Amino acid sequence: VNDDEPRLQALLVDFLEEAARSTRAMPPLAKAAYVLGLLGFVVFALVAPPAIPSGALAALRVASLALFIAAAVANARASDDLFRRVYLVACAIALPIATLALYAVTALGVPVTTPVLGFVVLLWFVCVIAFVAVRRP
Amino acid sequence: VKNTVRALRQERGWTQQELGQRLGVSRQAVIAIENGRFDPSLPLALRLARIFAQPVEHIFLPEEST
Repeated sequence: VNDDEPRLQALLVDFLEEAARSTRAMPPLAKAAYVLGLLGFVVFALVAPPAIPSGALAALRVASLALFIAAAVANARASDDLFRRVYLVACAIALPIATLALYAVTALGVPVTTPVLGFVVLLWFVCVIAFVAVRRP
Repeated sequence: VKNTVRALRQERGWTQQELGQRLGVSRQAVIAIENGRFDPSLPLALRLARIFAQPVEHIFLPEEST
């Protein structure tokens, strides 16, 4: 019964379980947007079919990402109390840090390309794990 | 806000996982509530009260009253 204070591995398992549960709890339309947004982004950003003109490809990438982000917000809304608050606090911290980091690299003339998405998502995820680990959102 | 969630759960012999399933929340949420690090929303507090068959004010107590 006294099974609190899990190790990091248990923490990650709980995180994945909650992510799966909240995904199942999403409205059907949001689930479809999740899949379409992710698939679209993978196809248009990573595969980048050469037959599609570059302007249209860029528009499709942005549209896919927007769809995925909208679905991610719906997923957060379907999460439990703790994780919803953790996601919100993680966003509140990741946003100014990412803004500062992106402003700095731009000011320094470092070319910022699509890997910037990975940077922002990683920053947010680190915040999520840190807050769930201390369980004090 | 202090709470008696851990004691009430242990009285019933439930694990944190079981209580989480009954509440529809993650095990992490139960752990955080029991440790007093996370104050649940009103709907979740009411679900806890229903599951434990206790008034909310018997489960959650202001810091100064403990």
